[in-house]
Amino acid sequence: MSGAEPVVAVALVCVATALFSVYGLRPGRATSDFYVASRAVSPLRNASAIGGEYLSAASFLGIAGLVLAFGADMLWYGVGYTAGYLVLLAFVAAPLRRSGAYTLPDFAEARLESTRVRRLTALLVVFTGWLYLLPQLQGAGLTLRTVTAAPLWVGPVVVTAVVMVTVASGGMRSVTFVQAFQYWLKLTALAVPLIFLLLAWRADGAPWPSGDAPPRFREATTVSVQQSVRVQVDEPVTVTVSGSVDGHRVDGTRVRLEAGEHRIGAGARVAFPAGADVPHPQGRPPRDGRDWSRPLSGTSHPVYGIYSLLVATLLGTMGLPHVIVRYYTNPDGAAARRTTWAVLWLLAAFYVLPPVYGALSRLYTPELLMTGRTDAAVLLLPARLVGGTGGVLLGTLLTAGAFAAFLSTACGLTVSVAGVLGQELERMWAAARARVTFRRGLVSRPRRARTELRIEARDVLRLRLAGVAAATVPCLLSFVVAPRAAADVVGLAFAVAASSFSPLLLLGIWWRGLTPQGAMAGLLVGGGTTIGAVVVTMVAEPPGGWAGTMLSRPAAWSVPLAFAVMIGTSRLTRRNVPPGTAGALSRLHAPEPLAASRRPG
Amino acid sequence: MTGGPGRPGGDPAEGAPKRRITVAHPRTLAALGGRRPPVSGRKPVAGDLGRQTLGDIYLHSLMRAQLRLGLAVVGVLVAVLGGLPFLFLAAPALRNAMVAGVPVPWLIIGVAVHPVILALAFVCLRHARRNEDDFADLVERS
Repeated sequence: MSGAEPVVAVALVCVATALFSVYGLRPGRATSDFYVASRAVSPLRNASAIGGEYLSAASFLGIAGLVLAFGADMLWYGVGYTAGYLVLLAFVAAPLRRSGAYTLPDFAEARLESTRVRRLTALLVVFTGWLYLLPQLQGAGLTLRTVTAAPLWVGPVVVTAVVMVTVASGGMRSVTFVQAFQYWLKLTALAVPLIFLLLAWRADGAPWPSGDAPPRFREATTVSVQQSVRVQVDEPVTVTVSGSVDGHRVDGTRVRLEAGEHRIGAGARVAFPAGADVPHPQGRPPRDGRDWSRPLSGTSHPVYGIYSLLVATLLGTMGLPHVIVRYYTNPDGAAARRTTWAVLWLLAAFYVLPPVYGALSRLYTPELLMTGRTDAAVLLLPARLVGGTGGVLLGTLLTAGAFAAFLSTACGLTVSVAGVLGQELERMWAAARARVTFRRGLVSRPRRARTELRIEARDVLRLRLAGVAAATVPCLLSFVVAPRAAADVVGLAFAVAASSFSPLLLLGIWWRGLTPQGAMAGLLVGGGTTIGAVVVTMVAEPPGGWAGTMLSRPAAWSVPLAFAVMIGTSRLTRRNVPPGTAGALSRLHAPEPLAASRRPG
Repeated sequence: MTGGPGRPGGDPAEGAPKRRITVAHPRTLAALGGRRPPVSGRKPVAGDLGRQTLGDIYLHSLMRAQLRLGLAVVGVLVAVLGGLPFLFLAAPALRNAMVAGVPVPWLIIGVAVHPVILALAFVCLRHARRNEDDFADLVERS
């Protein structure tokens, strides 16, 4: 796919997002606007905004790519991403809103009365946010490269720039409207092309990849190789190559690829005849049609993998910084529950779609298995299956939807990371200033809470600076870290959230015995081990076998570990239960009309 | 909005001396026409939430009811989702079955799970609301 249309679509989505935020509304000037849209957002709009923010590159491109590569077991991603909101609804939604905190560190401090827990939580929020941002930016790079052959760094830079404009100009208030719009854009962009694709699939005789065969080219296909690959050919095949193959440069000549390993250089175009087996990357043989289409045979240790994924997504959703921040925009606890209920509908409607793309791409774009860029499956299908002007238009719509996914998730994450960063910077600054004045003997104590209540231009400026920092770091990281499947990396971010924030939230909301020491220990052990596993998986090559599986899918062991450490340490330090625990719990659980009558006056 | 970024939910006047207020139905207040409602034998409970009082006991029971509800809903969810891999292991025929050209497991994991989740969410929403209403009734009646 190439041509001007996708570029125009990407530019339109970017410019529209930026304009919406700069001119569409009265830009947020006050600190409260920056954080939570002043809590004046209705449940359906709020739910659309949550959906818009939540459906990231992992959902829009990633699930289809994983289904293409590994088959039926990857359907669990969509289920987990949805079901996490049911757990959130059951345990967290209303109490979290009633806590009145803006961010997770706020919650930690209000519930446990400890600055150290607060600081550790802030650190983990920033790490999780950046880990989650990484696949969004790399997905943008992949998308732009797929549709325009631009270099890989262009996508991350474009997304980061738009996010900075959006975040710096209005903060959360403008983001809410942009996000709500982008949910519907994403749903449309995925649903409308699917109708045409399914019609074309039926016209083709509604085939299903089956039998013992590896993936095959259904028709003569020209594959453009953008990064050099080392592939394994099982059956000898005669292809037409322009570019470098096995170290020789050829120009449109017919080459016979014998069974064995071959190296295809960057920029080569290889034309395969119809019916040829798709070569596969060295050491990663594809599943045959039977193993691909039935559950529990697409990956090694499938049952452990499914359980680990379910633990990570069911418990991780409640800890995602950009999701949590949305709960403060509900007027009360009951509205927070209604919002979650609406979110479940929106997500259920969305997550039915990506697996269909995955299945179709196994039939019609199997060459992605050879180049390893399976995340591009959604973008390439319309041109392959529908073709002509229609195919280009549908592909353009999908490109626009994909960019909406990168932008909305990146905006939401950047706002929440910037909020946390800004608060911590402010505190550090205030503490430093207080120390100086204290030494001069002018003021005896920092006037913390009062100064923060005041809405100042300086606060907004600092938040804007924090926004720039929050967006720049992951952009730089995305150049350094080798890209992996988007849904995989997002799964890791869920695992970090599940093994640090979910014990903190669940025990903090439902257990009187939680102590600051217990929370610290649980966060350090749960978060620390999971981050270690993430770093090994992302940077070093993880070992094979059981150890590798447990490192790349850590949630199944790290979440129970975090809970055990948090409960055990709290039991050992039970004399340090914060004195305000009973009051804090009553605020979390008592319905608002009663809480309101508690207030004097 | 109830507080700044640094003081989550903090009531600005939290530190001020607490004034006791009477909880009564708006219609009762309207019928009394501005007079203070008669003080019944017991103290108003709503003002005591959070202390070891009758209000605290009520709150305990609300928390327990909500926790039981959440555990029941999530328990069913975990049983359904966690049971599916074992169902596929135990019934190879189901694992390989096809309906209308599509494998049955795809229809189960990809589509049929979502109505179950929505039904559970509906139950959760209804009962959580009811638990809170019961609690509010209890507190207002005391």
